[in-house]
Amino acid sequence: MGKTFDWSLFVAALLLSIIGIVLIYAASYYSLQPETKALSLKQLIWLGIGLGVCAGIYFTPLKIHEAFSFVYYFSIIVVLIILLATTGGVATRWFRLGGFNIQPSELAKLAVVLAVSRYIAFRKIKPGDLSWIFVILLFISVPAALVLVQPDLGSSLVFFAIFIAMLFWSGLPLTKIILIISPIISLICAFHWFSWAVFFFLLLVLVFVSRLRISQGSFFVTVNLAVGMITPIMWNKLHDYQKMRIITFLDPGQDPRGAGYQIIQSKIAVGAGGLFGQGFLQGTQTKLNFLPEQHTDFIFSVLAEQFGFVGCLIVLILFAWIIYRGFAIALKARNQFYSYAACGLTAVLVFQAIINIGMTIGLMPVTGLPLPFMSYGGSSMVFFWASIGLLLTINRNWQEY
Amino acid sequence: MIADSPERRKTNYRILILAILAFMLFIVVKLFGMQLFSGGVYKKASERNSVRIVPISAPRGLIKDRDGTTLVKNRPSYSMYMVPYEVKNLDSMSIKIAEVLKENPEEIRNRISQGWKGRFQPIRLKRDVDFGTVCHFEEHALDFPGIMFQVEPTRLYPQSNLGSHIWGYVGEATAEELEEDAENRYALGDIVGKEGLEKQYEEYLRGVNGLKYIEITAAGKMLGELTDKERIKPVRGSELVLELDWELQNIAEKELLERGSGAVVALDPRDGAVRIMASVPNFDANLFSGVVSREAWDAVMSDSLHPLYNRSIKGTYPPGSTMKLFTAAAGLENDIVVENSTFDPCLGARRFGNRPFRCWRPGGHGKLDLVGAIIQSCDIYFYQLGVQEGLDIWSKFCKDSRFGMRTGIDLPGEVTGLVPSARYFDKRYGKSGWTRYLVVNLSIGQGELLVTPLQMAVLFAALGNGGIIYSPRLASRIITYGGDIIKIEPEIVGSLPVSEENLEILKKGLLGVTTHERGTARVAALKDIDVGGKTGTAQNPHGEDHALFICFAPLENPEIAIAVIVENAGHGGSVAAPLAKKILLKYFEEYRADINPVKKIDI
Repeated sequence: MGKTFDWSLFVAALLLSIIGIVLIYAASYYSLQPETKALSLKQLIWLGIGLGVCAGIYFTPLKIHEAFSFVYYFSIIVVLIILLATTGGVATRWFRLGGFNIQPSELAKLAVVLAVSRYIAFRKIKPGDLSWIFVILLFISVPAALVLVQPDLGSSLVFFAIFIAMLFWSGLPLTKIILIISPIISLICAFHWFSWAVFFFLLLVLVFVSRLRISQGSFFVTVNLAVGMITPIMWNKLHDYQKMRIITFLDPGQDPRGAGYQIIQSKIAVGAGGLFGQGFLQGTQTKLNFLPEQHTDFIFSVLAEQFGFVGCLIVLILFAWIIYRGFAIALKARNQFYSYAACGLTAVLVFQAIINIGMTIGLMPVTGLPLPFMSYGGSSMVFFWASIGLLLTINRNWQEY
Repeated sequence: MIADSPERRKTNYRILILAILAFMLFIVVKLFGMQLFSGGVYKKASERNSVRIVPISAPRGLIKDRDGTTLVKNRPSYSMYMVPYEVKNLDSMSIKIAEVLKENPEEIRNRISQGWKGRFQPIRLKRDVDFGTVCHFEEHALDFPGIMFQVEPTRLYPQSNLGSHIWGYVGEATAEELEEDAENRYALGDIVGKEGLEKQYEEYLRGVNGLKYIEITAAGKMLGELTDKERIKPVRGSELVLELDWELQNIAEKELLERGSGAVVALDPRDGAVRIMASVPNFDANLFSGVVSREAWDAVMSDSLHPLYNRSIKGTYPPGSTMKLFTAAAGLENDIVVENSTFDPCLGARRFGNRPFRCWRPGGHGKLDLVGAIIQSCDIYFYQLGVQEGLDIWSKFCKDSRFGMRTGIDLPGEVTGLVPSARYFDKRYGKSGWTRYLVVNLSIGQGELLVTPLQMAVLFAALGNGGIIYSPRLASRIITYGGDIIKIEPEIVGSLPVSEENLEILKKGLLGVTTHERGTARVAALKDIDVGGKTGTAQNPHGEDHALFICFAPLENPEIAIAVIVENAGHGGSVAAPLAKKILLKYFEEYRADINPVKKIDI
């Protein structure tokens, strides 16, 4: 250990986990149900398991993970398919194992990062050839689709965050990345002819300046044109209640009964926290159990209410430190596979932290993504501690090629 | 490759770190704003502790007749809610509440567990609580923490019993209805249409519920509506405008009530618009939308005359002699008879197989041609015509004319009636268990043949309008809350398989029924307007025969077709035809000021 062990990264993650357990304790303190009251203890057990996994990964030679990355990937795909098949079409995200629920989508994140890193690190490409991007897209899409039908939109979005991060880390210019995600922008803009027209004009400019091959350029134009034309048709075919679901996802204020209610309550809790918070186990929002998901998705609002702006700032700094260390390790690693893996794992953490906190304070839609290390949930805890394990061992072996 | 060059990596790394820092800074600024800048506002909201959402029921759409008379509306009523959070012991509270409401505590406990949406969400315990009870709870508010009342619209049927079968009634959604509600539009306790137009046009009439935000304190005390969050107003249900003529409906229903039980249906033969749909006995639809007293409910349910049953579309009767028109049409169309064909003269009875069949007139009618036989309703003539046609031709003609099929009216629960065929009899009596003489009875509308009053009105309308069979419709248009008008267009579903010349022959007969000196319904004749009609008597194995009269007027280009059936009343000419005449008189007085409808021949 010694110099090669990144203590700061380890301690920051541990601090976040402990703060999380304290907050879960606070969130469930006033609950009348004994199962809820036991959650913080359960989470402590999960932290222990997470630390064990972290140690296990740290002491396993990295080359093994490199060699087995595709095996991991295909195994987890099989698991996701089995999950889908055994439940017979009834939506579920969990396997029940003993007294615990296992969420395979968390393991899938790890497997996808490793498999894509492996592929991208060893790919052979000719200049101007973009076909490798579609291979990665395929790697990403299969688990993303399997998770989406569970249905777990939030987790499937995480896979696309991995995709973008990997492309960026590969040195692909930003203009090309924008082109690749342009069909999604087209979809969003297509709800009004004017916004879409502006988008399409900008797209044409972008295609022109990035000097793509004719075939590539016309491909992006055609795809965007198709998306832009099909979207309004599909939208008009939806039932009102289906439209309403999409609208309330994007703008929860439109649905004050469901998601909107949570946002209102969460914002009140955050705002009521003030500078130093209302104090541990204080705070009316938490006490009165206004937030049904406060120990999972809305744990940050418990933090904000009880420990205020100062508490939030401390947690944000801890996250920032972990993120900084993650990308620094990715930069430092000489082995391409290590570098991509470090980048991809850190990207998941960034994405989930920002989406979750953004949701709590009303900046982002309600997606149900847990806050790394802090939200109640074993699979998530284990995944992030596995990421820490990998980052630590990559840091130790950064000089390897 | 450029991508893997350390310089490029370094740049990307810097961009990433900067972008993430920017995001985080944004979050910090937002947090700063929320917690320090406007923290006071949130703090207040949190102290008063927050918002509870109370639904506001949307009033259902009005139902009006064609002249704009409001037939169905809403009235305000008190609904009683309970907020579980404020109740210490739900069981003992349920017992206390049940005592005041004079209900079973078990029932109250059930409503609490079924309506449970969280400790802070109010549960509706009872709709339409009377004012005295509201006062009692308000006076003893300290004994009943967590009880609140809200004014909600309740369906009101101001016409009491009249027309109740048309609109049906509403009630709270049952567990099964909630299960079938794939689009999740209803919550437990929501009001849905259960019968009649209320059910048929539910999606338009129901409207969209709104909601309001009520502030409560940390202790759970209610403070009233939130000021900075506007309530979402409920959207009233769409208005349903009917083709119904309420004045005509009134006459029909009241006249029927005087005569006992039965049904009247009147249509416009030009487009299938329903002007009258009366079924007696009727019921008070208000019984179901508000508080149903046990006795009133039992009285309706145990009535042997089944007042909830819409005889116009669910009652099946043998059509009696009104069927003779169709037996005649089948004969004409199959070239078995022509206008002046005759058969063996009527001597009051005739033997078919080894069984004698009687004519209604014991003395006999003598020799008659087809038109004469319709006018005098001679059974012996039609027995012979029916036997000549045979069951297959007769039954095929009936089916082609849409007997035994739903008319497609915009009401739930319509029945098909029955046209017996050779297959039907094979099934019922066995292959050789019946003779070809079964058609004898069928040809004069007795026996297994069953029709609804609505079917007969539709088919007589078709006799009058040149053979077009319209699907009848009660609603003419829907006017949405925003003022958009959805027109409900007439729909042609078929045509009588009868040529124009043959229709003319039948109409000659129909006119004779009201004008010929031996016509069976001379009471229904009008001055200056030709009325085509046919009487009938439907044999009733359970009691006195049912009297029928079906007619349309004017004979050429008819504007109204009426089917009247009076149960257990005997002969059609003397009971049903005068009722139809009252409707005709009123109709022409109302719609055709240019014609003098007053009777040509005194009764």
